[in-house]
Amino acid sequence: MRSDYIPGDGLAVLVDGTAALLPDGCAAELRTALWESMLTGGSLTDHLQVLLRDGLAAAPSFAIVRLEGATAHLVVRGSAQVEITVGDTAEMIGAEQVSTWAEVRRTGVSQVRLTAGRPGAGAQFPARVAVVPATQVVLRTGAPASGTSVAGVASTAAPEAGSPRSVQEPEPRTESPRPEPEPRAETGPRPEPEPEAGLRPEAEIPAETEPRPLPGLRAASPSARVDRPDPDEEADEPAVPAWQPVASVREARREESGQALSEARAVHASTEVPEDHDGLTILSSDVVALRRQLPDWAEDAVPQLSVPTPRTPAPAKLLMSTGLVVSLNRPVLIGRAPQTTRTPGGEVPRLVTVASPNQDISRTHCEIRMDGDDVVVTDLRSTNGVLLLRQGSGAQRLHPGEPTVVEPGVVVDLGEGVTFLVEAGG
Amino acid sequence: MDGGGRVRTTWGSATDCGPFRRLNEDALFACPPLFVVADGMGGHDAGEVAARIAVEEAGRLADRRTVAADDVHLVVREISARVRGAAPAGRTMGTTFAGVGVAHHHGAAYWLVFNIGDSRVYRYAGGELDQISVDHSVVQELVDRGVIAPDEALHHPDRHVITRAIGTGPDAEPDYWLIPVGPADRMLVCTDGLTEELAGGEIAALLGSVADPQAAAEQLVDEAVRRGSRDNVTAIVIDVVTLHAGDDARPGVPGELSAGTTNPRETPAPVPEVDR
Repeated sequence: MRSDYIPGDGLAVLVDGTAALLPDGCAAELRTALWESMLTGGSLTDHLQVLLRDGLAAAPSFAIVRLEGATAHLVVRGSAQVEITVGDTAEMIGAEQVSTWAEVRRTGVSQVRLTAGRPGAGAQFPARVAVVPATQVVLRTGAPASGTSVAGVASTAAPEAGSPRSVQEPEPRTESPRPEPEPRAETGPRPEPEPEAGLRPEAEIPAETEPRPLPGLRAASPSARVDRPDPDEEADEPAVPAWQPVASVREARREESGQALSEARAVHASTEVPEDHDGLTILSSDVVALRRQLPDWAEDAVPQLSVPTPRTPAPAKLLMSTGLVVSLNRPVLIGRAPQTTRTPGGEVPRLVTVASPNQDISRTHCEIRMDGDDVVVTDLRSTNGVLLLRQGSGAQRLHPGEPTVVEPGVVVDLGEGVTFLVEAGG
Repeated sequence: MDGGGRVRTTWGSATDCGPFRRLNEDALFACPPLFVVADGMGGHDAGEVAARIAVEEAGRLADRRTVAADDVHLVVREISARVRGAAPAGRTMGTTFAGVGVAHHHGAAYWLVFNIGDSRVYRYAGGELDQISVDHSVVQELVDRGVIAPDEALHHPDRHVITRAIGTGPDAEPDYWLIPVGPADRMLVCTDGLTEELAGGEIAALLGSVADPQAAAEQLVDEAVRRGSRDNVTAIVIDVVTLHAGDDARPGVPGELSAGTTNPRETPAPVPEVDR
């Protein structure tokens, strides 16, 4: 493995077999986070999490690749582009047309070139572990520079002299997850699906018959493969092996011949046609594409998004003047008719309704929650406020909207005779 | 505890494939105390399967008198597991999940609103239509960050790209809202096929003019279909019939005082504010 970069105005992060190129750079914190993520040897997904941590819309353009032997797994977003060389075939991968990114996995890779998507030239400098301003990064594996070894099919055959080149057009053509405004072609005879049949086996899906003889389905997933329509050029293309994730054939003109796919092909005809999503709603979830492509991602091995559980101190209790005892194992909202606004996840506050015949108490009067070992009370800008009654000192009014730590033993007065005593957790 | 603020509902629902779709990948479940829509996705009939799984699981809560967020949470977990299990190798399918249930807290009745994805829950009360749920979508993120204005979101090219769904990523967590039930509340749960075609004002006008919830749901869906919705369209309209104030109902339950504002105390307690 060898990696080189061409200095430029983008940003490259190189750590052994993993390389990221951000054509437009990024904020310093993100740069540091990415660097640390890559240094700690995290997975590609870990790095993706870092790059996408501010949300999809704020994520910068990037290309990131991880090489393991001659296997390249890469994700491209925005203006970045990747040229990936397998045997004597170069393929361009870009994602400028899509709102998310393109993801590709290839084996038998001899070279991967990450570019800023704009012309750039200059001297190449070798670097194994670096954070450098760069416009291009080139990774070379030990794989032979020619010969046909595509996508996991081990090929020890010597390169054929004069084997037809399957040159890929340089312009990226990505399968956008964006819905076409046009609905899926409804024309032509097509067997109506049985509504309650459950998922039909792939082989029965009639719509994906192809008009031309392909030796194997071409991946047209987020990768930017461009199929040359000339069948001769593809004759030497080995079949796409089973793990190739999505073999959408949407760009093949659909021919409603009604003929079932041949068995062998049907196995791989995992036909995901974006237009046939519920039409409009589609998903940008990062893990969707990743999960498909990583067979080693067992369901239970996807811990990245789980929230680490902090040490949970014993929750304090509120002893209400109404006789109710409320545990603070989750936040509590007290009021005449309390309501929650958007609450993500399972931590829905407990709502405690208190009587207020004169409506002195506001609908959502105050919030009480644990903050570490402390009990924190917030006056939610109630009309009449919240009073703290400490033994031996006068009443104190909380500043509206400001969380205030209340120690055990303090009585909190909401008005109209409604009070509660804060009791330490056991 | 359920003597106070008990809610009875009446409801109507409608769904339509739309003129351009071959399959209806929307599904709905409407039976007290739970009203749910699911908008499936995944290509071919996978979306249909995912949405159906979602409403089947939601249906397990039908025999309850009330639901809590924890119940919905478990249902979502279950849906997630089943959708993943049902997805053929190499394929992803998923579904949105949004709805409203009747919940009780300390004797008061609440709408428990929950959402994953871009299906929506609205409340129509006092002539005003409020969107309660917040979409999990790229466009919503842009709106939240102030990058685009809310009305730009209606026509944004990425408006159908959602950032959260059941079955597609890590276990999706719904967002929750708890809102006191008002005596004249009318809730609307719908998929994006409806909101894509009808503006908020049009939905409000229809909800305000058609008394019968079934007729209202049908007319909403019909109108979206008539305008040539390119998506499936689904709507559930839920009305509060009566709020039974039980014997032990305390004053202050939302049903009785939902419109009330807090009265300032006549003599504010002369106390110092906390020094900070």
